[in-house]
Amino acid sequence: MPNRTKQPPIKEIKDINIARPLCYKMPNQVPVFLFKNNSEIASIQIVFKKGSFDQEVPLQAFFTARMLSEGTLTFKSHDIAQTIDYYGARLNAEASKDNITIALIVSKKNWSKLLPVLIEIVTAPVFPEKEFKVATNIALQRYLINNEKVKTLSIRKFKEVLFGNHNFYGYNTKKEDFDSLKTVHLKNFHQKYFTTSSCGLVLTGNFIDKNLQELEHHFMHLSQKSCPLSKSLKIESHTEKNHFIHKKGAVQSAIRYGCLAINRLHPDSTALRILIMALGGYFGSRLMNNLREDKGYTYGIGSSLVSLKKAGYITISTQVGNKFLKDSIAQISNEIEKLQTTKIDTNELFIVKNYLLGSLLRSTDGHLNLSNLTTMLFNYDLDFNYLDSYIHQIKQTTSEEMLITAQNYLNKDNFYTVVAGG
Amino acid sequence: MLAFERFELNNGLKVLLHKDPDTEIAAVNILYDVGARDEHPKKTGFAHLFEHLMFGGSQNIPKYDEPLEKVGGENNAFTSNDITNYYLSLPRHNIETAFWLESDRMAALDFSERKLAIQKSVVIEEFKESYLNQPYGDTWAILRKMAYKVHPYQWQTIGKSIKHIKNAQLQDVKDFFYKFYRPDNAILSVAGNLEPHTMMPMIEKWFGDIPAGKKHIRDLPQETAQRKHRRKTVLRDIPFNKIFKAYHSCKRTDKAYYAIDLMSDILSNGKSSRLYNNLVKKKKLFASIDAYITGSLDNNLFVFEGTINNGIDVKDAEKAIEIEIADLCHKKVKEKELLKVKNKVEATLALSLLNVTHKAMLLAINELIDGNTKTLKDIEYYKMVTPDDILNQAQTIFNTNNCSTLHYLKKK
Repeated sequence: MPNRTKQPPIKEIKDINIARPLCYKMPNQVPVFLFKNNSEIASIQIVFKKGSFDQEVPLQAFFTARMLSEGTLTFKSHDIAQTIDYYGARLNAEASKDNITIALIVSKKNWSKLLPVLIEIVTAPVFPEKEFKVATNIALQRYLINNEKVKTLSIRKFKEVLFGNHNFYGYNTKKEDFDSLKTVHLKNFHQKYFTTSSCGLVLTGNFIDKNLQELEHHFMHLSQKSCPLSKSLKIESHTEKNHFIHKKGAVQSAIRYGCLAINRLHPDSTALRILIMALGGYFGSRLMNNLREDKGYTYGIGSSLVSLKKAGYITISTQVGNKFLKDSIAQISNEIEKLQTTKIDTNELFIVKNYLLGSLLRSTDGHLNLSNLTTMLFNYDLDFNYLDSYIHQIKQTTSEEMLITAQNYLNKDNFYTVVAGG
Repeated sequence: MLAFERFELNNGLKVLLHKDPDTEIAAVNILYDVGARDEHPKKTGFAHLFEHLMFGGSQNIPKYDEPLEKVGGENNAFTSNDITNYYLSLPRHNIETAFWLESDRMAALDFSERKLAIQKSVVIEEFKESYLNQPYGDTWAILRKMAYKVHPYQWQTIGKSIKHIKNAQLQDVKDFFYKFYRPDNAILSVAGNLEPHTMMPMIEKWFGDIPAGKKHIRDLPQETAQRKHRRKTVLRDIPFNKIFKAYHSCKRTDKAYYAIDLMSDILSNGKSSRLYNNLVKKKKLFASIDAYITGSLDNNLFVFEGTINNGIDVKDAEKAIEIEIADLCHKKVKEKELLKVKNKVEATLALSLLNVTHKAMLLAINELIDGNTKTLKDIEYYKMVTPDDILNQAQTIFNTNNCSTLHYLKKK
C-alpha cells in the first residue's frame, strides 16, 4: 500500500533551459530569429511593430491585417485561400494594440509552395473592394452579437475609462466606425508601416541554407522606407471611478475592476506579476478560493497584469449572479486590502512562484511556443537575457517585497469599477 | 506516428504510455467512461456537476489543486455527453505527484454537504454565464430536444434546467462515484519524456490497490429512424436571424464517420470551402455559415448553422443551403477537392501531435473508441475515403424527413 497521506518528494524547477534562436540580419537589415530543428513542420512569424495604437482611424489596423490575404498583385482572394487549404497550411494575420503579426504554419515539404504567396500577402496586398465589403459585414455582425454580452460591454467600457477615448488603447469602437472605414485607409496603413525598419522574422523548422537565401531574396520586395515613430500615449482616465451599464434581462453581471499600473519594461513588473498571480491568476488563487470555492458566487474569476508597449494595467474580471454583485465587489476589494496589510506566507509564495515557473516552462515548450515568446521579446526590444533575469527575480522575490509592491501599486483610490448587467 | 505501449492493471484500469524525448513537460489524462448520456432523465446535469466535485478534495488530499500548483503543474477537465475527461500537465520530474493526486481521488472522494452546496451554486452560475446570459444561448437545448426523442442526447451536459442541479443529493453523488469512477471504467494515459518501464511500477503502486467496480452494461434507448421533417421557430431579442438544420447521422465508431466528417470539411472548413464562397461571398446571404458533425459516440447530428444577413428572408437562406445539399447528393466531389480536405485533416493532426497534452488525450479517446489497439487508425480511415463514399453518405443523410430545422429569429 502506498503512503497516500504525503505528497511524493517535490523536485524543484531548478534550471529552465530555454532554447536560444540563431539571430542575424538579412541584407535589407530585417532581423531574423531562427530556431532550427528536425521537425516536419515549419513556421514563420512576420512581425511589424505597429498596431492599432498607431492607426489614424478606428479599425484600420484590424482590417489591414484581416484583408492581407484577400488579394494581391498576382493572386486573387480565392486562389490564396485555395492554396493555403490545399497544402494544409495555417495562415493567420492579426493586429494587436502594438503590432501586426502574420503567421504561417506549414509542413516543411510544402514550404516553398507557400512562400511566394506569403511574401505577396505581406508586400503587395491590394485590398479589393468586394472582399472588403464581405469582411466588414462579417466583423460588424460579430461586433453586434458581442455587444449583447455583458462581458464584452464591461471590457470595452473598462478600457475607455482607464485610457480615455482619444487614443487607441482606450477607444471604444462604435458601430458607425465600420461604415467610415475605407480601403484607402488600409492601403495607407500598409504603405506607412509595413517596412523593413519595423519588421522582424521568427522562423522554426528544418531549414537549409537554400531556404533561407530564398526567403532573403523574396524579402527584398519589402518597402525600405523609414517607418514613422509612434505617437506618445496621452492617458485621459475618467474622473468617475464607478460605471454601470444596464443590459436588459441580464441574469448575471460582468465586473471589471482594475487600475493603471506598469508594463513589462518596469523593474517592479515581475514582483507585481507574482502578486497579481497570487490574487487571481490561477485556480488556487485567493479570489478563486473566496468567490468561487468558498461562496459559489461565480463560475470563475481572474486577475492579470496586462502589459502594453506604452502602459500597463491590472484587471480583475468575473461574471456573477446579480444578487451576488454587491458582495462580490466588496470581497474583491477586501482581498486587495489584505495583500497591502498582511504578508503572504511562505507556503503560498512558494506555490505561486512554482506555478509561475511551471507556466514559463510550458510557454517555452516546443518551437511554436518559443516562436511566440520570441515575437513578444522582439516587440518590447528585449533579448533572451530578459528571461534569465525574469526567472532569477521570480526565485528571489520575498514576502516583504510582495507587501511593499502591494502598497505601491494596489492603492484603492486608483481602482475603477465597471459593471455591465441587469 | 504516435508510438505507445498499452497495459491493463488487474483492477481493469487501462494504461497507455507514450514517450516523447523532446519535452520537459509531461501530460497525464484520465478519461472516465461516463457522460451526460448516462444520467437519469429527471436528474440531468449530474455528470458535469460531479466533475466539479472531483476538485473538492479527496480522502488524503484536502485540496486537489494546491499540491499540483506547488510542483508547477496545471489541470482542467471537461464533461461531454459521452465522457468525463481530466487532464493535467507538469514538469516531468514531478510526475509522481500526478499519480498520487489522481489515484487518491479515484480511491475515495471526500464527500460533504457543504462542498456539494457550493459546487451547485458554481454550476448554476455557469449555467447562467454560458447558456442563459448569452445571445442564442438556448439553441442547443432546443435543437437536441427536436432531434432526439428517446436518446439521452436530448439534453445538454449542463442539464435540462437549474432545478435539476438544485435537486442533486449527496447520496446521488456517492452512488454515481461508486458506479462510474472505478478503475475498470477509466483510461489513464501519460505522454512525456518518461520511460514506460519506470512508469509502469509507479502506476501499479498508486492505482493497483483501488478496487474495481461492479460491472454495469450501458443500455441506452436508441433513436429510431426519423420519418418526418421537424420544424420550429423561436423569437428572441437578438441582432440577427439564425438558421439550424440538423440531420441524423452515424455513430463515431462507424466507418462512414470519416466520409461524413470530410463532407463537412468540404462544405465549410476554411475560406476555400463551398459554403463560405457560395453563400457568404457570392450570394451574400449569410455573415457566417458552418457545417459540422457533433462527433458523439452514439448517433451524431450533421448540422448546418448560419447567421443570416439582415434584410434576407430566412426562407431564401434555407433554400440556398438546400441547393448546396442537392449538389452534394447529385454530383460526385472532384478528387482534388477531396484531397484538399484530407491534407487539412492530416496537417491538423500533425499540429496537435506537437503538444503532449493533446497526445495524451488523443490516446485515451482512441482507446475508448477503438479499444485495445496498438495504433491510431483515424488518419488511415480518412485517407481511404473516396468521392463515391461522400456521394453515398450525402444521399443517405440528406433526406428532408431526417432533418430538424430551427429558425431562430429576431422579435419584431
